[in-house]
Amino acid sequence: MYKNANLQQPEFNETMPKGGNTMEVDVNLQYAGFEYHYVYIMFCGFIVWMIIPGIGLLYGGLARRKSAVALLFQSLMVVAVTSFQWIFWGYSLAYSRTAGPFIGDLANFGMRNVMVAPSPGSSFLPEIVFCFYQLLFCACTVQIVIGGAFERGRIVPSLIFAFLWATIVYCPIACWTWNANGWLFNLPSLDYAGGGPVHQASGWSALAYAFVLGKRKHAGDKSHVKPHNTTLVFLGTVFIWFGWFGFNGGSTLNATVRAMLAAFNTNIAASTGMIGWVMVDFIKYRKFSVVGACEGAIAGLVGITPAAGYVSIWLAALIGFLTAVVCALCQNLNNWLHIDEGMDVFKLHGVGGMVGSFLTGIFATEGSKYNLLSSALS
Amino acid sequence: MLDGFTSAPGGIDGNGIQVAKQLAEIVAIAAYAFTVSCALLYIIKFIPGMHLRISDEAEEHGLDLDQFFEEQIGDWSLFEEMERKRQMPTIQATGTPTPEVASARESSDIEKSKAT
Repeated sequence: MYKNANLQQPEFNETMPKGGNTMEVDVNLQYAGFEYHYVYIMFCGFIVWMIIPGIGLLYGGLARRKSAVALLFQSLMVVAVTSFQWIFWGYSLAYSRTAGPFIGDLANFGMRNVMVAPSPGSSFLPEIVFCFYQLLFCACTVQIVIGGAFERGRIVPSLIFAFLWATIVYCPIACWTWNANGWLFNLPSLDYAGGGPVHQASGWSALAYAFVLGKRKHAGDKSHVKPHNTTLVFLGTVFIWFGWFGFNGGSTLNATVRAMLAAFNTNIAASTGMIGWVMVDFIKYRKFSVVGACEGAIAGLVGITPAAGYVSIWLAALIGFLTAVVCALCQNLNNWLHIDEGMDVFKLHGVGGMVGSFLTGIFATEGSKYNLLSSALS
Repeated sequence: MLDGFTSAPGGIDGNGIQVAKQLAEIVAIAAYAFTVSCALLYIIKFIPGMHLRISDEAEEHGLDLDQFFEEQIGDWSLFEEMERKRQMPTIQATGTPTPEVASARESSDIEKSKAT
């Protein structure tokens, strides 16, 4: 750990769950010398937010014009609903310090005691920063799930579903994976930034949404499976790719070089993912597609999410490439499954997330591969 | 250890059991997410007045027209004009041009004659 004569790493003190009385002591003092960690994570949180409207634009562009406004509306409403859910009980159900292996308790119900104390995720972060950052993860995930309701799901039930889904699906799975008491955390299963709670969970749940709703009515119109606006798809992907730097880069929960590596790997995996998907398109059809390039980038990003800070750069490139190729080869997945899930949520996040988590198990590597830095830090 | 404390060996470090642990994670999360989501959606679906899905007729016209004030993607006046033309092709073809259209035609005619 950090051994420095002048600086002492902040530590959680059970007698002061809030992190100290602001009227009596300078509560910021406990972070002296380590502030850059939470400043960096807060910034990552801000750019993760961009993913949410990004998904709205992407799905809006992929949907038909007559049903695209709904997806833009839902993308912002989901932030609203999930933010409320998170401060109401979501944070506590996922991250309370006294959680069981499967779900948290209500120790932090209504944000009780969530303020300056060193957070359960990393003692470099005040709990309020950690809570905010994780809130945006939850919001992104719920927004991805809502994509399963495209073109036929009513808005009000979709928002009620958002609140309930975050409560009984996202929060437990986040607790399994990232809470220090969670059963997957202690197995341990490796998940750097959300291959499980974010991508597999959202992919499978969007598939469930599309399945329960049933197929869209198909009156033989040519536009049935055609993205109505490529520009929106492109814009959405740009937002998502940008936001993902914060998503993976911040998941280290500190601003060490590992976080920088995760951000670097994120970019390289998105790039090779895009190359992979475009190659599959080109070999099959001898043509290019903007939508294909965008989906390739997202597949690469999904693939690297569980591995971002665990793998070296060349293996990150390989993970992005392989994930995108697998997803691209699943082009007719909806026909095989007989489920009308036209936003490709399951293909990209479900299949991509599973491939990514599997490859993480193979390619994750010890510090020995990073000799250069390990001796300096450990 | 890049951050000073995380140690995560995988298959390439000789820790093959990690792959099995990842598969356990995949199966657990996939099964839980799909089953619980389905159950939740079926419950919402059968709550009276909750209608998970819009009616077939509304679907024909699009989700936006059914669920929103008159908002849509793109320039609505453009689409309205296209719709009008589609519905009244005969009137368009034979009707007298409005003064603006007539003058526009004239000016373009003048330009053509200048060019030749």
